[in-house]
Amino acid sequence: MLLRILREALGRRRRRVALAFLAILLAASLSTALLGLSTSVLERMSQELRAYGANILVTPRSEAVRLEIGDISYTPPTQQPLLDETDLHKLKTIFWRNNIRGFAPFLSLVASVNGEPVVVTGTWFEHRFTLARGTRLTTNVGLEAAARATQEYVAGVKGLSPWWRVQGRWPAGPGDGMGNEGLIGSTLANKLGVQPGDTINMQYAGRSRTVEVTGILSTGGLEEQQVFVPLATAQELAGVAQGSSRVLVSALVLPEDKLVGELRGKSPDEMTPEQYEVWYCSPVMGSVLRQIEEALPGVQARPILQVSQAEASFASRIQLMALIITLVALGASALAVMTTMTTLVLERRREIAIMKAIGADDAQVAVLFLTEAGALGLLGGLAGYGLGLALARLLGVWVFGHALPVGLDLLPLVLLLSLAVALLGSLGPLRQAIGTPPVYALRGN
Amino acid sequence: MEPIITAHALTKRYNGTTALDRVDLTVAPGEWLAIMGPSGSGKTTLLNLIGCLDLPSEGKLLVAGTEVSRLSGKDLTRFRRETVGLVFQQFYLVPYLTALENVMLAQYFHSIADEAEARQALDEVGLGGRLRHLPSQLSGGEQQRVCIARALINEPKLVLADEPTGNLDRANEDLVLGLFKRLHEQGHTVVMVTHDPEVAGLAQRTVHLDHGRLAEAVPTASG
Repeated sequence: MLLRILREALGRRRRRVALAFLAILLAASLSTALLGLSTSVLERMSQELRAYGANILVTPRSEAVRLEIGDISYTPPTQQPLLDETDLHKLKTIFWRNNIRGFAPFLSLVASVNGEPVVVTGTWFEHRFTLARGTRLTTNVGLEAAARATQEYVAGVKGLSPWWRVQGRWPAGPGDGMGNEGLIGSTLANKLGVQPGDTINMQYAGRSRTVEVTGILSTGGLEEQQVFVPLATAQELAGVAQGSSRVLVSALVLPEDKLVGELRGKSPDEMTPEQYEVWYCSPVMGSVLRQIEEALPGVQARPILQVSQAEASFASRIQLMALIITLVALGASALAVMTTMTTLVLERRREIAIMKAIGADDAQVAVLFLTEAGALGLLGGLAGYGLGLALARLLGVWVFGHALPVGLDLLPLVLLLSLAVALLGSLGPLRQAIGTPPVYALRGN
Repeated sequence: MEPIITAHALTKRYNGTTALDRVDLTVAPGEWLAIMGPSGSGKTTLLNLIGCLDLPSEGKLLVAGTEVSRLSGKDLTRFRRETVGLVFQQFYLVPYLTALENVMLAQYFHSIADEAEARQALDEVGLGGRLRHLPSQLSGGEQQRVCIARALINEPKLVLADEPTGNLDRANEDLVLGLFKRLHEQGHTVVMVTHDPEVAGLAQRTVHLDHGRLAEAVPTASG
């Protein structure tokens, strides 16, 4: 009979029920969309920020004093330890290899370009490499497994610094290390009067190389005063067979405060083996740096603090903002649902009085009305979840250009919230209506 | 025989106004009593107290051997649904439930809803063909008959009716009063509030209320 009453009460009072259903639906869809976005926004922000360049600097571990200005070493390459660029593919074998979004080696020297002292930097523009099937991949602390398939990757500044703008074209050629093409920074190009298609002559320690300028580079930074050539060209000019003075890496990392509480602020040396394993398998800056140093012996990996700190601070601000907006929206929609449910119950005071007059006790009336409110809450919550997923998708596309994934794990929470606001909205007026002797309620009508 | 209703010095006050003033009354089992009086004389108040819809401010009220003036909350509700069947002037049916479901609702609150029994009750008041109709699809007389079927479905010892024909035309009034006559013949105790002397004339006894006080007891022609 309860189900029968429920069916009739919901089915025959369509207009009123539709209003309450709509209020719950909107609240649930807002909750789904905002909670979904606020949980995935951090990850997305981190990915977005990776588009703004490297956040890790890898240099040879050395006791020697080097002269560096703006990350460029002014010590002659022949007098400084260099990183072997043929080892760099190992960055894609570490535990967090999928979080390594890009990297590029750099070798800088101060050469005479068309008679002017200019920083010439050798790098990879777009460097393709392959990890063969069977390559050892780290799977946990001290554990490795063979790669099941051959994988192709692309490294280089083109992917690492997507905001670099080239007027003309990027240097081409098979494995651009062999090319005789280069880029010239826009400030320097103006100063030297160089256009795309011109050639420039570079002289260093008695060696000379000529490259064709394929494009003028604009970055908004110091790169606009430099010449960029293939790494091999810079190595020839410097008189070294191979090597680079630094490697910039772009890695997806989470702020340290995402670590479990007991690991936060703790040095890996102070951790128990179990804690170390948890830390090692967390994509935080410290563990990624540790894994890079394990993969490339003899290097020092350190965060580019400005970027890392700005990223962490920006991400936590965005997350806080998303949380505040979510809470405000949830509060407002909960109020709307509660008001609707309150009106719905108040309108039915006479009905409650009739039920009591014909023998219903308080518990029976409460069960009837709360079951109805609960069913509305659950149905509205379920429909709202579906709508919220679509809304989250749409917002993701509008804001980030990609749909953000909102998992099924939000469903129980959204249903619980919908149920709670529907029941809470009904409870107050129901208590009041039940507490009124039926004779007063009937007389009032 | 022990009276089914015994009221002694029954008093009800609403915000300082005395609606019922020290009323003494007894009703025998199987009796049909009419309560008459002008508007505001306390007729409905007395009926509500007997029907356990309200509690007296003072005095003693025994219904079917239970001192209901000392009951409260859950006990009063339980006693009401076990003992009393109520028929209202304005019918008070649940608007979104059919005639059949309105009767079954009273069964559900009492014990278990039995559709066959509810159908039979509606059949007995001449509504066998209107089971699936909503109150809004029924005439006033039909709604009142649903109300009577609902009042009787749990076989109460006492049937209380507040102006049951007040909202009906002549034809429906006759139909409804015919049902009350039949109830009385079957041995039900009926207490009916009315301001219509012709309706009161069907009862065995009529009491008059004036300004909350019992004026006189008049045996009627049928009594």
